[in-house]
Amino acid sequence: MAVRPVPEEPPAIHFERVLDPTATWEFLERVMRLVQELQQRRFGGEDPVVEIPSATKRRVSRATVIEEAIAAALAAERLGALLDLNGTLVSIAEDVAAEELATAYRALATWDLRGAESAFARALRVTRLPEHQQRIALGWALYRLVSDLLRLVPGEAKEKSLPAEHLVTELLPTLDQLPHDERTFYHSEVSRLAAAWREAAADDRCWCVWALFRARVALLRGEGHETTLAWLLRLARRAGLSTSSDDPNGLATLLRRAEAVFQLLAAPSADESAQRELHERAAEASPRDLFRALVAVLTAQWGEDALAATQRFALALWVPEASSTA
Amino acid sequence: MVETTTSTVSVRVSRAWQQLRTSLGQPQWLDVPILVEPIGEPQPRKIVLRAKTEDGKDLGPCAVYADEWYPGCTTPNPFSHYFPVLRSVLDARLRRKEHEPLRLQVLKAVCARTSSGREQVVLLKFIVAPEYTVTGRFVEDLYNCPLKVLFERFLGLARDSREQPPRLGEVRGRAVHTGYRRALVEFATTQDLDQAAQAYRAGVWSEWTRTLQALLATNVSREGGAPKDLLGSFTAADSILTQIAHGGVGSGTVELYLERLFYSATRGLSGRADRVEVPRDASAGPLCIAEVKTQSAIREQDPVTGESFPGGLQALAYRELLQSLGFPDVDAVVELVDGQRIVTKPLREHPIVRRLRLDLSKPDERVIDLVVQARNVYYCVTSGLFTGYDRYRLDNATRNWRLPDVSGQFDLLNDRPPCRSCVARQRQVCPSSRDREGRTLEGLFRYAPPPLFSYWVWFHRQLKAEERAERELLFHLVHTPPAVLEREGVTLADLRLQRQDGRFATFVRPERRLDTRIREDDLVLVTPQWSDSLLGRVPRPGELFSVQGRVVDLQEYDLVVELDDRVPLAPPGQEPTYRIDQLTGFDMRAWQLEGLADFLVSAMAATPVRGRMLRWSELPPLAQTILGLRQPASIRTDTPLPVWATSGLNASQRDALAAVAGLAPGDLLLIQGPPGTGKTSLIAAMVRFFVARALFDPARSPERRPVLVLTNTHRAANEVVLKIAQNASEVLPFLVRVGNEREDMEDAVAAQTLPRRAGLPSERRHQPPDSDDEAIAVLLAMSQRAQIIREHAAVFVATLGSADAPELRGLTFETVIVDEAGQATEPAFLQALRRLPFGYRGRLVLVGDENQLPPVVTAVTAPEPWPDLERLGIRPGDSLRTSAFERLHRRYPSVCVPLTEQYRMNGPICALVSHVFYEDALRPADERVAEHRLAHWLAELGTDPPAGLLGQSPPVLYLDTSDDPLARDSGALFQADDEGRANEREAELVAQLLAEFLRGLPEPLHQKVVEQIGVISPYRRQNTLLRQRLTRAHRALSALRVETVDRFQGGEREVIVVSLVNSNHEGVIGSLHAEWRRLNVALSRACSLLVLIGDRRTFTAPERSVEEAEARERFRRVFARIDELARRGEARVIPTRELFVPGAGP
Repeated sequence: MAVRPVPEEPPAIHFERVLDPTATWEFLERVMRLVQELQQRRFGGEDPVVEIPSATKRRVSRATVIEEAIAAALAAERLGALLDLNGTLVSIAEDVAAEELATAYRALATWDLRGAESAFARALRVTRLPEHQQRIALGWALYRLVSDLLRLVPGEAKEKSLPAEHLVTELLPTLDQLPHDERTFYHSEVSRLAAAWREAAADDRCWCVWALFRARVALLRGEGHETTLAWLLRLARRAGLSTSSDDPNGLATLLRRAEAVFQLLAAPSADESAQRELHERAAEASPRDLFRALVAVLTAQWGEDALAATQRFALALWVPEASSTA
Repeated sequence: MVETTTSTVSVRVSRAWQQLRTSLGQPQWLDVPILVEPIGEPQPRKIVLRAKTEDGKDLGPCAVYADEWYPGCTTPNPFSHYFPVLRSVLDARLRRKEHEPLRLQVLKAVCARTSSGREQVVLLKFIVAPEYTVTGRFVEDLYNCPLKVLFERFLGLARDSREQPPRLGEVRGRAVHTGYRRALVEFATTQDLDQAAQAYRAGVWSEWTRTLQALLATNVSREGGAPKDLLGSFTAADSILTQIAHGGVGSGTVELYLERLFYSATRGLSGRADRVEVPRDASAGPLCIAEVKTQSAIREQDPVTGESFPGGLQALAYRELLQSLGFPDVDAVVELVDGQRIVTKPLREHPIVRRLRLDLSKPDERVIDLVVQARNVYYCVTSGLFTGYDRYRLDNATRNWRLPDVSGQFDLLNDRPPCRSCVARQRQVCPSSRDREGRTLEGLFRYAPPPLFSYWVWFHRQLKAEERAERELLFHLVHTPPAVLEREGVTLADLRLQRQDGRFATFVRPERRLDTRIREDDLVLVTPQWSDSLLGRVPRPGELFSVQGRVVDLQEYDLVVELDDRVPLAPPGQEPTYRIDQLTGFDMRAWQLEGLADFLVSAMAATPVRGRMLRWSELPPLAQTILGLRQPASIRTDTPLPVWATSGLNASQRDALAAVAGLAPGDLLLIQGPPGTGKTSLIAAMVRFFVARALFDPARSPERRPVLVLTNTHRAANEVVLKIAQNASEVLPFLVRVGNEREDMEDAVAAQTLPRRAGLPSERRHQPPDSDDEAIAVLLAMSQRAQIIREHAAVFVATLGSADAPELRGLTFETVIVDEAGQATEPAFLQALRRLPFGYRGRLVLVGDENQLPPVVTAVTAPEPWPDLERLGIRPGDSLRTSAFERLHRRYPSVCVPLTEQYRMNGPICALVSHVFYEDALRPADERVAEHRLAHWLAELGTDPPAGLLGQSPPVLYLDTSDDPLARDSGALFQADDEGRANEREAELVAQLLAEFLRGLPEPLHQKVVEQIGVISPYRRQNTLLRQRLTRAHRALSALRVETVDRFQGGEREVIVVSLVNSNHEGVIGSLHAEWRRLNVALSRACSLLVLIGDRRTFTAPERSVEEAEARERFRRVFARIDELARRGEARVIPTRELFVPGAGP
């Protein structure tokens, strides 16, 4: 058995460094005062640049100078204002903006509108770079497109094409700070999505893919059992899937359970036992099970992965050539 | 109910506070005004305030919690707006450094016991700053879309006037509306349905003929008949007359008040209901408000029945307003003119009332909440307290149309804003719009280039300050005793009605002179001063019984007012006295805000990029120039001109025309025209040149026209037309004077208006044809003529205020000339840009003179300019009174062509004016002008100069009152810009001097001579005095023109007498004289003789403030130059001590 070596000298004592709440608040109050002062000037119509107080004509300690500089930088960051750094204007939170932008676009690609909205808002608050600003503008337009894609039922909406398609295609040529490739990519991407939506209005199978996509998003967003079940039932009807077979754990049973939910809502039965039976079936209705079952059945029917097919309604994100080759 | 004095209010507030303390934990309805100041830092859900009464009595601390909560409350309202609005207002006031207490009309409060056992007054419902008057019809706007209110009422966004005119639907609505009102009045008076039918037709006819928009848009329908809107407005007569005959309105049991202003100082609301029916017998039933709606686009819906109807919220607001005035029982009805019939909906059956399950027979707080929420949020948003000018806050606010940071419960109405009718959607600036498309201008505020945003803020802030003063006027009138208002010069009390002749009423006050700042053309409110039986007290201005009117004549002891309606006569036993209060006139701010907003939006929209902050260098070149950031192209005065273009022009005018001819699209040119230098002749020459040039440009699109002339006043626009008629009559067939005929128009000018040219003189508008068919046929024929004329018109002459007129809609101009540019505020001047092609690709020519009168504005103080503004050429001391012409001339002196040859003043007068104001650059155009003397003028009249001071005077006569002990001024009468000073001695001297002059002339010439004499003083009070003295001194002098300087600008006379008035030991010259440009205008009106009367010692005393330093210096130069002229025998200086001594007689 190995013996652990015993150090000959005791280790040096390291004092634990802990947060000083008083100093923290004192410093943050200094930042806050600066923020308020800048806000006041903004309220009057100015858009001030945050300046780091100069130490040259004042008798102040180096620590004070550093503290003031940090406070100024933080105030600029809080307000998304420009900072005067040795005579050069810098926007100090562009990295944050870039990160938020990436989050927002990722959220759009997964139909997470709420996530995209808040990330765009955060990015907008801090960015001053024209490129980032235009990427946010494009993001808002794409947000509308994805929103239209989810909101407008193909073939049922009075619109014959997605209204936001026009918005994005008109906007793209005005975004002079974005690379040409990026604009071209999103132009074709928007056209592709709009075409897919239009195709869904005309073609049953394509409509079913759209409905599966819609149900998938309802599940992802937690839109509620009834909503998801409704989309799935509509999909099953359109796909010609019957509830007549008698498989205890199969699709037909799952569909009957889903139907029971709506039968109860629409017209409660006068027959007590029938009513009880409906309740029992409705209680067992599971959107997720039905979704899985439908995916399996449709995959078999179509000869392609139905879940993968829904991706045609997902926004693909542009990847710069340089980074993709790297 | 409004009390008479602050002390009675104070007693009521103290009682209310007492009541709170005795009802611990129980919310009480109070309805009392208090003043509050915040104590300490606001907390996230609580604001602590110190309350006091209007007279300063301390009421102790009180609190406001979020959600109308209070200690012990079990039912908070999470949608309550009171807390967020108050927090916004207090926060904004702090940022604006406004430290005076905030007024709250406390409606409901409670005295609650806190967890620590302390008693605390908690305010639950209140009206914030009730002194700020909100117009009731905006209540619905606010509910339908608060963001629309931000865009339209704060920003001032308006439709793009380059668009085509709208359709006829709204004209139809207005026509039916007018016809209905006239028929109703007729039936109420005569009880004759046939006469009511005629009155209806007359109303519809007048509306269709009044509205140029209708004339220009009316076309024969596809089927070949009249358009259905036109037809429908006439055929609606049947249902409307049935309504009148059977609706009981015109039965004579009620007194009808039509379009009357009513205002509640406790609710901060004003309204103008279409009709208020007041029962003649107070016990006969409730007072009833009728609101007539013709546009049914925005309706409130009852979700249970699906029924929808407009106007419910507005009617509720008006009902609340009248109840707050003290009318005990108020009913309301909404009448919808729907197609050809009127659908009447009593308020109790209105969908909004049913939806809320309101019981209107008893007080219901939910009604108050609905009305007050709209009013408070409207106030907060439109006065800029919600966002200030923080571009990022403004931008964030536009991202949610419900403005959740201040607004409360809006879920009773639409779940979507009515974007279709919204201007912000049309201009593509609203990120919350449902149906955006194309190159939407997102980030209007955030991405505006800093100089453009600063420019917008600088002027917007000042216009808003003016608007605020106007919004608080009614409150001031109601809360200030008439005696105090009379001292301010805005009210005349104790007047008696001498006679009422149709629309004209004469009021007299023989026992006291009418010393006032009110003058002819002012808008006034006439209010009877006896106790009303229904109200139970003497009504105040704007409390339903007031009648609006315009002053047409003001004498020493009487005045004549042209009224919108007849004033009520006093019942027997009541003292028949009236008061008259001055209202502000036509709201110039609205269209100035529109011009400013348009510049912001159009300049950005013209750039090819979106979605990022723009650089100013990316804006259209002309916009950069206007901002003061881009030097315009240098002027070329060597552009070859055809001979016909320059005939009749002098050298400096030819240079100016050549410079104009050499302009390229996007260029700016300034032409400085000192007095009498032939600016209008030059404009006529420019117009002729551009029209001729356009004839050779067949590629021009039909919407693009050669030239538009915009002026600051109607008078100047008329003079331009007259000058064109005189010098370039070949242009007249292609010229349209924009607007309807006006009484002050010369016939030659009226003949150029579109209605007149289309065969619709003003008298015909008052004479409807005998049948509907004939009326429709005439209207169609005239409409076609009007459209043809407009189609072929090449020149339009308009005022800046009517740059958005129907005649101009859809048109742009290659060249826009702004006359009197030195007198237009900068936002007013921006109207000119609205008429240039997209991207401002047109030529802009400003003609003016910054050494003459500056723009007239009411706000005296301007905000401190911030550093960014220096780049634009805005300096400390600049304000709305600094015209664009002045700023741009300072910025780009090299693009200004001066006119240096003048045709008005003779040599010595010109030398005086030129030396003091134009660095000796101004000179008489020729020998004839330079040598013109009084004797020449009188010789033309067939007489010789008479004996006496004037007749034998050299061209400049100065009567020096410095040593005249009788010539001291009266002191300031009013605490306002026009201090109301007078100088009896100067008035007497002027009168005696002129009377002596007239007496020396043959009597048949008196009228002609008097027409060529003008008397000028800066003070209206002095002018009143002068008129009296002149009339007393000589009968013929009663016709003499006596005016303030401001009213004399543009005019000229052979003899001008200037009474300076100020004469005092303190050396006070007042703010009117401190504006030295008045002196230039006053002196430069004279052709052959200038008489100056005043106290040299007062005007040359050391300056009392920095603002008057330049004026003092100019006065010193005036007197020094007069002395020099006197040494040359071209002027004479006479001390007045021994002159026309009172009592000596002529």
